[in-house]
Amino acid sequence: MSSIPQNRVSGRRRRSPLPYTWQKGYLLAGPAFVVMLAIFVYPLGYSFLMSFFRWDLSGSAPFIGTGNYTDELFGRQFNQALRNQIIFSVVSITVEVVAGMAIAVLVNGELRGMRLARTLLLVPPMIAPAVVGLNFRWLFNTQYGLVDALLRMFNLPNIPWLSDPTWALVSVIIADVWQNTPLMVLLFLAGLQSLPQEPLEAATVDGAGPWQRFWHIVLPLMRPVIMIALMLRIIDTFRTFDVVWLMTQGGPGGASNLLTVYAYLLAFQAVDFGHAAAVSYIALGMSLVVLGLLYGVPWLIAKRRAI
Amino acid sequence: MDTVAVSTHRKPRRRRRRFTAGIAGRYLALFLTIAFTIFPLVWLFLTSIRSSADIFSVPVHIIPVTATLTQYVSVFGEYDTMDYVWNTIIVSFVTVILVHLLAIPCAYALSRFRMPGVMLIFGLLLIMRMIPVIALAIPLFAVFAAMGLLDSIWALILAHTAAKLPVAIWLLLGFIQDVPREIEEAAQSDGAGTMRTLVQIVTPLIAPGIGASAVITFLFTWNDLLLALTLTSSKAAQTLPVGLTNFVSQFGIDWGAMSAAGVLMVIPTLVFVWFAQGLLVKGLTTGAVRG
Amino acid sequence: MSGNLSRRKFLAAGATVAAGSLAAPWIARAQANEITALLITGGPLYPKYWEKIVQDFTAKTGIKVRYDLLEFTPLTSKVVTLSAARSSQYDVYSTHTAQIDSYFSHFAPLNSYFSESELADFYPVAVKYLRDPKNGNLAAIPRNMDARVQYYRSDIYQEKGLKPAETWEELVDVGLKLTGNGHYGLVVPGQGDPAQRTFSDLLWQAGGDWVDQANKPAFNSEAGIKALTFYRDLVQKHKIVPPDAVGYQWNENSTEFSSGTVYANFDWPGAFATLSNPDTSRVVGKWSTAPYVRDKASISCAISHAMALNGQSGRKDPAVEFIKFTVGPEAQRLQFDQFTNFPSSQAIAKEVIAAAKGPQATWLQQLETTIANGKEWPKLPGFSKVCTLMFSAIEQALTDQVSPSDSLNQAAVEAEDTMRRAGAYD
Repeated sequence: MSSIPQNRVSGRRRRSPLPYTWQKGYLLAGPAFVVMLAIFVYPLGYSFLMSFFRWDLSGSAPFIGTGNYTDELFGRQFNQALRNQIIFSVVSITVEVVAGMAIAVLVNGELRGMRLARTLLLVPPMIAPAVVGLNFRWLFNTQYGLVDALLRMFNLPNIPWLSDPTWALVSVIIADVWQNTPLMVLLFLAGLQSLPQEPLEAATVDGAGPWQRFWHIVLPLMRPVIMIALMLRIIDTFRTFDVVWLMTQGGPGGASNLLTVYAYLLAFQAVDFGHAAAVSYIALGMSLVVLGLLYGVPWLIAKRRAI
Repeated sequence: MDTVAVSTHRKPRRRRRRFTAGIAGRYLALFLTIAFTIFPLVWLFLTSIRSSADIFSVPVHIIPVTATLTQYVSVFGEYDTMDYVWNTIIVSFVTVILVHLLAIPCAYALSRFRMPGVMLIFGLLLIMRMIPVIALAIPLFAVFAAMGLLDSIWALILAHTAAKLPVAIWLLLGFIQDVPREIEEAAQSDGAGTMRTLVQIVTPLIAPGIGASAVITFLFTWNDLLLALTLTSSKAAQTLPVGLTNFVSQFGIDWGAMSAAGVLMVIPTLVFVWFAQGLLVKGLTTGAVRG
Repeated sequence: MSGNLSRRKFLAAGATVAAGSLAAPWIARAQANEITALLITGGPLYPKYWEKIVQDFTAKTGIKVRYDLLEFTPLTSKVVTLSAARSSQYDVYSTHTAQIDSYFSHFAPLNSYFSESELADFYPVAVKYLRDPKNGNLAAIPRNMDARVQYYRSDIYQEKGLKPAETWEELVDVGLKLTGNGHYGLVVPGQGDPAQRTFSDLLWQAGGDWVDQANKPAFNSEAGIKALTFYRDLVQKHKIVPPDAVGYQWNENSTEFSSGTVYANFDWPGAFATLSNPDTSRVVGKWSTAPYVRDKASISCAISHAMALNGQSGRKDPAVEFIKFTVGPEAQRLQFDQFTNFPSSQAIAKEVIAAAKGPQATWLQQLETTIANGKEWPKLPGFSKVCTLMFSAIEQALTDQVSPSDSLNQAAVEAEDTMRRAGAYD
């Protein structure tokens, strides 16, 4: 749900008469650090190390350098999963952010039913991905599912949601959009409500229309919120597993395989943990790179402008 | 029971506007959003009150022919779901308590103390948060095997505590930052130590923040599948999401019972959404809006 | 609950992980006369079965068994995890021929615990594929045989004057006559391992095989292409199989038949019990069985659920006693009575066939024939990974993403590469 509050740690520091020594700080923060590091650091280090070994159940684990990585990077299945992952992340994040913003702007203010809507919007992001995955598999069943039943009712052709390669990827995107767009709406609504009113009122006085106000004033002011939203979704789309696994298992024929689903198949069906770890670390690297670009590029641009 | 709406600075009520095309459009957007949001949930519920025969009827009856509770009966009778429910409740509650015992002092220290080397730890935590759990499944299992904690709810509680701590710390940081230092300084000049200041002064002031992160921690723990799947193999420790996958057997998927169990899984979400909406919204949006 | 977990204890626990993950031995939870087992379950009857077996075993030997039950798929991933972590949490595992090649260095060989004459009673096809081809070690002992026959809706077939298909051509003809009004003539699974099993059967029936004499991939032969084309056409061209079937595994495949939507399928022995039980079937009394279809040959897979001994187990002798009990005559008879699991012992199989009457007798004979002609895919190094390749190759052909020949040719290249890297040709 969240990121690491780097800016908060360094910011707003001032002299204080209180004994805020670092020893005391570590004493207070220590237990939490110890628990987090003790439980996850070893697995993290071990799996990273083992991604450079042949790691399976054969009993011997020779060092193979970057073999697992190169196998995957040049492999057909990996590249299919990578392609799907990029489509999945780009499309679902775009739809979620754009639709989230549109809905937030449209319903912001005093509409009847707003409270009910806000209540309902909280439900999808907070229910188990396992339930979402299984429920959408059932919704999208062409024989017994609701969606195709409705299409038939209106004499529309059935859509092969989960059995057609293209539609399968669309289906898992729909499930992801269903679960996460409401979160975006809530974030943006909260953002909109904490916007300063003066610039908007000034613009209205200057005769700016609603669209101009949104484009030139609201959107720039909302940038920090949008950045956080993007960051959350980038991290999470690169880790999406439950929903896709339970809906399609990455099928048919890998058409909805994402990197994590592929890693799971490698680990538990191919019993090849070395390759699975390599794929996981490639996924991690990719989301780090994307986040770096997201934050680094605007920073660079700002810096250039400053010179 | 905090049901305060999100908007803290609500504008003074404007005078009633006429019903225009703009308003109609906004209501349409609202309606479509609500419809899109609830229809999968309605279908989940409808599936859970069907008879097994009705579930596989061709053509599909959108409204169940007869409403029945047999799926719920079989969820609790045939499938022993109560064991899973208890495990999930215990794991989620204890995780919430442990997370906050650890996160409150940690967040306090991070917001008030200068701590060298802390960025390195943050970097590691960020990576932990970003790595797919699958990469960690096997070594994580080995860690708990070494501790002799496998297949116990303690293993799950510890793993969840470690996994949910960063989120809780992040949320609480925001709230602690809003506590004016003058209050603490006053308390300390009255002779209160750091611990007493934290427990008696700061903690009550950030109660809404603690509530928000508690709700979030609870629900994310409640919903988790992968950690539970990795660390447990018996009814002694399996949780409801794992139980849910047990309706997928070799001989069929019991969609009716599974939907009933799915409805059960959603209940805590609905309860929190209804009774602690304010906290939930706060928990979900605080970090983002003020970050 | 949290009161008894102080911060100090927490720190201690943290330290234990750091140290323990490197060196600390696993603290045995079970007592000396107690063993632990991770066993398979499936459906509501299985837990009662294991309860009875374990009770009888304890009554007979005094050895207690603590066991956990998992469904097939979670069981497989759990055993993978346990083996990777070299865990000794369980002494005994339920296992299966499917992934057995991955466990050759993790399951303790059972050869020395079974005499040649004892082994001779088990179906040879099962024992053969549970052996490590490199050294002949027996990695597991079969508990029951799994093979498929044709299940069809005798009521509908009679009404339409149809007979169950015997050949591939008839399968299509009959299917076309039955399909319509939301119903389908046939269902076959199209995802993952079930898709590979189905392709495998068709491959053998068309006269092909997985590998040649030199263990090089041969599934892209003419027979292989014919098999995959036929398989794809069932779904895409003749449309006698529900379109969603390309995403179905065994469970949804079975449900299509037991719910009455589809009029024929090929299913495992457990289906006989499931279909006869009104709680799990809407077609009780409306179905019958027939042999699997054939083309050039009438071969399909004969695989087995089996019991294995964890190589890390510190209580091997009592554990083997339990394994022997679970594959012994009493247990085999009971599992046949309870869920019509076909015995792995030829003697018990003869016994139950002789005792059976009516449709059950016919079915058992059909099943026995399938098993007698049955095969399993090779247990070569790296074949588990080849399976993952095959899932994708078959699914891609079934959903018309790639032509059957392209898909198989590409998979063959990748399979050879994978097996070479795993040491299959060393």
